[in-house]
Amino acid sequence: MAFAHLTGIFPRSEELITATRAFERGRADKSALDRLFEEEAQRLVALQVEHGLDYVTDGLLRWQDLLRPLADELPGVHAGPVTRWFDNNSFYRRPVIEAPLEPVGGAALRWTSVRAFEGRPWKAILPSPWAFAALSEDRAYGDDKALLRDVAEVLRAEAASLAAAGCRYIQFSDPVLVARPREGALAPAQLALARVVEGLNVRTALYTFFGDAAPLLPGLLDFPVHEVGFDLFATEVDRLDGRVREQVLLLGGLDGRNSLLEDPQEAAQTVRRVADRLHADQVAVVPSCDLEFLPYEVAVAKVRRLAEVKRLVG
Amino acid sequence: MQKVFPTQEIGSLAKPAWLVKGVRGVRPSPEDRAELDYWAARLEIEGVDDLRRLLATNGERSEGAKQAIRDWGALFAVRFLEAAGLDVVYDGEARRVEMYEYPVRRIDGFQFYGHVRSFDYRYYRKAAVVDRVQLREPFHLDELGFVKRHARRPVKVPITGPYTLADWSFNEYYLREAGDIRDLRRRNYEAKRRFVMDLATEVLRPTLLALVEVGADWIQIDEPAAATHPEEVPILVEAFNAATEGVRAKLSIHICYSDYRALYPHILQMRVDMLTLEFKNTGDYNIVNIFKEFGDRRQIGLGVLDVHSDVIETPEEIQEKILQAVGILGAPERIWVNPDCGLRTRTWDIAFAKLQNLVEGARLARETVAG
Repeated sequence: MAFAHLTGIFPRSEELITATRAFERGRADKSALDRLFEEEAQRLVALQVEHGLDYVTDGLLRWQDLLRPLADELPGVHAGPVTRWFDNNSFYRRPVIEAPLEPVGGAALRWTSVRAFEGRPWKAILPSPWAFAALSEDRAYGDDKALLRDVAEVLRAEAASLAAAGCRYIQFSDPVLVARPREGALAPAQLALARVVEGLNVRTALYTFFGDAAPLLPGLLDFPVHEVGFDLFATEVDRLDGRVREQVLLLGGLDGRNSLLEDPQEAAQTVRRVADRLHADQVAVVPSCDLEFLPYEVAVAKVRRLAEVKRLVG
Repeated sequence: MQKVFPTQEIGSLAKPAWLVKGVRGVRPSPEDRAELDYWAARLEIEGVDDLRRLLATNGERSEGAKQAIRDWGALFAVRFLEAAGLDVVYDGEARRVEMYEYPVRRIDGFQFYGHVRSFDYRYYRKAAVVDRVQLREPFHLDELGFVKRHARRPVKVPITGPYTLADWSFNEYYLREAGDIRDLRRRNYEAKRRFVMDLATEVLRPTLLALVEVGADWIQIDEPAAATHPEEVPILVEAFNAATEGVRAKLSIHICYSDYRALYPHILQMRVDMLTLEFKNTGDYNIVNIFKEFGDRRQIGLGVLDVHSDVIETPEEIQEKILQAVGILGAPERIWVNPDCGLRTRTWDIAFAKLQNLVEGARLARETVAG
């Protein structure tokens, strides 16, 4: 059985880009910009519904990067230096943690266009605790374990707020585990995520990208989430080893970082091959990463292609 | 250049509003004209009434008028950098849209698809390579000629490198060509390599040779993407060497915002005279240790100005950073001093103050070393 949905930030349309530039130059006011963000989120939801995606997202259109809502809203944290986002020609502002973290909750929810979902099953995306800790600068703790523990509490509160607002699926994104692998990372990363999702009454997923997931299997399949996945454009699929238990396997079979539209037959074949290799009965075909690395129209074309690949996978 | 810690610019300056509007045929506002007057006076630029007359009207400009306005923009930038006191200058890339779009629009085989985000509300237009790349004609030649005629200091011309042009583009043509490679990672690598090498040999090399023909004696190849994929550093080096084969000029490579350790040891094979790097943004000058660790004996352009902040670095702070680098490398004659990157996101007031302090900081460091 196959599903399909998006995995991250969606690019802004040319119209929205023009509006954000005008706002930054003081030529447009915030309320007008907010209205445009809402309208675009609605159009994006409609696109996903039209093509039969199983969960919808608002494209995280207002998020400047995966960590920004937390960097901007957590007490004692601020968005720091412009830092390259992994091996991309894009950047994030590295969160600087100046004081012990407080699990206030609600930050990601405030940056989500909930009205755009109109009651449909919607999906939220958060950084995993391991990723947030690794991608931040710690000036408060000096103790990785304590930092990770408190980051887990923060994300637990965030997840609870999203669930209370009607979210049905939360994906925890973790490019760090695979793109910046560290000896012994899986155990603390798994424990931290376990704390985040403990008692959470929503579907949960761990999605990794930008790096090779093969060395982390089968361990990655032990994470206490309903769905686990990885980027097929970064993973040595011939080295994959493991057996999926009851999880849905998320397979990043459309390249979120290249405009070339994949041949749907070849993409479906690759997805089936990997699913068979890991004995997965249920698969979700997803983009390899956020689609924000593509221009808007190309990303829209990828959504259509995603739906086609999902149909072929069956 | 005999003195230690000579100073240089790196790349772009902000384009004044009168330049942008003037080329578009929009009459500059009173504020824009005041900015023009201010800098014309401060930089002691003569004959500016001619420019004022060119800008006085609204409406589509002739190609000749646009060219003349761009010439003025370049002249202002050259004088700006000279007035700040830099030893080596260029024109702030006044004629270029930016470092990616400008060359790509002059190469056959590309198609622009729209904007992608760099960060926050900053975007750039990204193209896909849809056919084998071919140079239409060498670029930056007239621009260099103008700078050489008007500059009173030595000149260094920047050009975007082949690896970055490929890395910042979508790869359709070469990926299709490599479609017989089943493994998606290996397919991507081979497609990237073919793309980069074609850019190096078919586009960059003829352009570099043409630049030398018109008088370039120092060329800076900009490769901000250089260290983003450590496994691809061999492609970067192979392409750089292929592009510069037979190019008789001083060669430097500018790499910003990267994990420099990822470049080594492969970058030791690159036939380049200087590496100009960013240090101020991260605040981590101990990166200089990497050069010592790997026995890199080439010149280093030390980035001492944060180009993303309006905070004006003090001369003493800059002096300290230079001396810190000397302490690690023990070779003051190998150290040049520059901003982290281009200053195009700063106003001219801020950029000028930063550059003046850079020059003064280098002078203080020079005094310390001499003393």
